Amino acid sequence: MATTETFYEVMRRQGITRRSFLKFCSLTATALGLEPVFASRIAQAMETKPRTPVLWLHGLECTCCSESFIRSAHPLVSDVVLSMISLDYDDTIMVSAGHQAEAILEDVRTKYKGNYILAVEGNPPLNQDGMSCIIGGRPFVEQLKEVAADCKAVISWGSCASWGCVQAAHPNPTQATPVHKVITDKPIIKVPGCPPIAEVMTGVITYMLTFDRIPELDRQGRPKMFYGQRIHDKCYRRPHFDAGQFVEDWDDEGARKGYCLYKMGCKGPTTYNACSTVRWNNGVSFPIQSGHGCIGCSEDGFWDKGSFYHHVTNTHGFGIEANADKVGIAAAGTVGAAITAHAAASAIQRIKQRSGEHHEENDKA
Amino acid sequence: MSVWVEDLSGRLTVAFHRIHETRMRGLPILNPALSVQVVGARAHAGDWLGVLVTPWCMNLVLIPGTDSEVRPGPQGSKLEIDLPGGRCELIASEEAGIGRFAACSIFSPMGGFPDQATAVATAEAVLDGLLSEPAHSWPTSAAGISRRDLLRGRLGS
Repeated sequence: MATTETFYEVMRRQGITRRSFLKFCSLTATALGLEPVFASRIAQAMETKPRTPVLWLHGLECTCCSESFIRSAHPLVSDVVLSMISLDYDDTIMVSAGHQAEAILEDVRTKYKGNYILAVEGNPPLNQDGMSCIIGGRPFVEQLKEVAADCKAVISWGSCASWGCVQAAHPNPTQATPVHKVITDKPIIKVPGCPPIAEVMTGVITYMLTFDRIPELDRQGRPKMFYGQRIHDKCYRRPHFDAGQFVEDWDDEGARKGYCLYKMGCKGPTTYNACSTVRWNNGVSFPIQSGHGCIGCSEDGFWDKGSFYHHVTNTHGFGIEANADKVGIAAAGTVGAAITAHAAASAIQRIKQRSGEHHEENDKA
Repeated sequence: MSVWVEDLSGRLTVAFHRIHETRMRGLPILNPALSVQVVGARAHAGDWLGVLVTPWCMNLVLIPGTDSEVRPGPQGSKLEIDLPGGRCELIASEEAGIGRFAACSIFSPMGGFPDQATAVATAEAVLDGLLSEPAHSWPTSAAGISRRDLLRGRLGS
């Protein structure tokens, strides 16, 4: 594990040709919504910068995030990114096992102090001294805190790490706790979803590895480039919502016509994710397209928000998320024009944003 | 305002009033403080452009003019239009009394708006923002050549 090795050298060692490498760079630029000229910048960065090690820890989780990640649309993307990651630590896909594996953590901590990224899938349970999740004979929460102490930034993969997800659902017997409530002194990037979309995961991690900084985040700590819009904003069934045409019962006439699934419990209007634009399985489809409402899996506490099949029955349940739009409008009655202008400005930014796009001005320089 | 613009504004208002009173009636997603209103309607590059405010959504709406190059496809398909303030993605739609049109969601649901005046003021501000040049525009460096343009000989501008 040479400290001076670059991404490019790693890739070449993995048998990836230069042609494939350049293709990867342009695909990455596209996935991130960057202009084509950025492909060469990505290539240059990967050729010259020493690679950033990534440690990928697993707490209480189902491994669906890993499953999603390794199925990224372009095989090369996952190959490349995985070759950068699996070199260090990921207990699902690494070669090492037992003491040898745990030694890697210590090794990376020492060698790359303050310079590695910690990706966490799942979360630590805190009840009974953390004994509901034991890794290498010790509670996961201890491993998490130790490795986080010397990392540069934390990626919270999935709804488990970001919010708690099903193991934190009421009554949460193990006191499963999202990562940001345990690690409070590091920048944390939440990439929620159960699982997150593969392209979103590779997009976020490639951005961080390439540009050596974290993407622009919203108030809840999610990358704006993928979580800036509701499913509802870009849903292809949206015209039916606007026109009041709803599926009233499974398999009714409306269902056959592809009407809006709001009355069947679709959580699209309150869910921030990229499913209606990026879609799933290499962009083939997403839940609403296959006839089922969105269950809101990327939102905080989605297991405790009632049935997946009942629409929210009071207006206050909708549109009150803690985001820039809401905060602006809620105060509008008292502050007036300035706040209206703020709401309008954030709406315009949202409208102009295409999936994967981000607004960081310094990237345009 | 031309007769054509007013006529379409009227038809859009009537159509969504009808939707409000029939298909949307009693749904909890409605904000009872709001009503159906068309804001800022105008002719833009041969198309009707305005903001539709309803108790359940606020949309930028484009109804193509007869000679327009903008042709919304089947309902649910997406199309992009370039406005001075930036590029917008619209979703094609169709409604009796209006025909084919396209809409871009600005807000939905509308629970956050305290009253109609705030919604209308926000709609006006959004439309102003989209129809004026951004205060500082970043030089868009060399838009890449698409394969399609290359093959059709559409290089440069």
